[in-house]
Amino acid sequence: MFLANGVTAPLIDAEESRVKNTLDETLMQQIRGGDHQAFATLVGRHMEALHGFAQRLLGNPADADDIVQETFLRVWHKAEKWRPKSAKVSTWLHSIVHNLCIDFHRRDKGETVNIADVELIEPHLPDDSRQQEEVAVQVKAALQQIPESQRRAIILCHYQGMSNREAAQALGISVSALESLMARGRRKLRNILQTQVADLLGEL
Amino acid sequence: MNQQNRTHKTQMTRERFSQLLDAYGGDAKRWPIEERAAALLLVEQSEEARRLQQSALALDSLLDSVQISQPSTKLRQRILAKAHHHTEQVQDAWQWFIQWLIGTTPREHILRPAFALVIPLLLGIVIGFNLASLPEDENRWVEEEINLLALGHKE
Repeated sequence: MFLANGVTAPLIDAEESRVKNTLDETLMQQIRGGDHQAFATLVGRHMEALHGFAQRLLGNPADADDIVQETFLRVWHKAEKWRPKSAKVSTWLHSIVHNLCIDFHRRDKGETVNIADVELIEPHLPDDSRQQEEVAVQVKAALQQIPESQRRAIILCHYQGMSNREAAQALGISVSALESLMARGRRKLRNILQTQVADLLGEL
Repeated sequence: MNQQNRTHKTQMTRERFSQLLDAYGGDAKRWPIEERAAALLLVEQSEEARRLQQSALALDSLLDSVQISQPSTKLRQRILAKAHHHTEQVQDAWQWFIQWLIGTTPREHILRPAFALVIPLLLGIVIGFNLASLPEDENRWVEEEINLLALGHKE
C-alpha cells in the first residue's frame, strides 16, 4: 500500500520479509524515521493482542477497535517518545491501551453494558456447548464485578501472557503489588463463581 | 551463575507456593521464572501441593472459557490509512510553509526569508535578557531544566 510505484515483486517480497523478521525495537527506530512498512508490520504483529486486552477491559469489541486505532496512531505520531531501554515495545503498547481504557471509562462512566444482561445469540446449541456458553457468560460477568485494578492485573498475566515484571511495568506498580492485586482478584472471582458455576459444573 | 542454577537453588515453602497459586493460578508457565523450578519440585514431592494446584487450575479453566472476538477485518487498513493521511497532511503543511517562505515576487524572495530569520533572533534576545535578569539560584534551576530537556530526561 505504501510502497513506491514501479518496485518489482521480488524486491517487494525481500523488503517485506526483511521487515517481518525485524525486532520490535528496530521497527520503532524505523517508525521514528517515518517508515510506513515498519509501522504496518508493528500493527500486524500486535493488533490482535492489544485488541484482546482492550476488549477484556472494556467488555466490547467495537470500543476495543477505537482504542487500538488510537493506540497505533499515537505510536505513529509520537514514536520519538519511546525510549529504547525503558521497556519492551509490547509492554509500552499495553501501557498506552491501559491508559486509553482508563480515560474511556472516565468519559463513559455510568454507561457500561452489564454483560450478564446480554442474551446469547445462538438459540439451538447442543447441551454441552450451551453449558459452556452459560459458564463463559457467568465468568465474563464475574470479571466485570471485581475491582478494575484487579481485573487489569489478571488480564495482563492470565490472558495476555505477560510475565509478572512486564505486567507490573505496564501498570506502573511493583511486582509485589501486582501479586497482591491478582491474589485478591482471583479470590473474589472464586467467591462469586462458587455459587453461580457450581450449579453448572459442580464444586469449584 | 546462570538463571537455571539460580532457580534450582530457590527454596519453596508451602506458604510461598500457596501465594503463587493464589496470584498466578495453577499453570506453571505463568509462575515467576525465578521460582518455577522450585515450585515444580514441590509439586512432584507433595500430595497437598498437587491438590492445591488442581484447585487453582479449575479457576484457570473457567477463566479460559471466556472467548473474545477478533478485531474487525478493516481495522488494520483503517489504522494504516489514517497514519498515511496524517503524513500527507504534515507534508502539505511543510510544502505550504516552504512556498510561503520563498514567496512569488522578487521583493518577497528577499523579505520573507529575512523575516523568518529575524523571529528566532528576536526570541533569543528576549529569552537571553529574561534569563540574565533572574536571581542566581533561579537561573541555575532554569539552566538545569534546559539541560534535562536537551538530554531527553524530561517529558
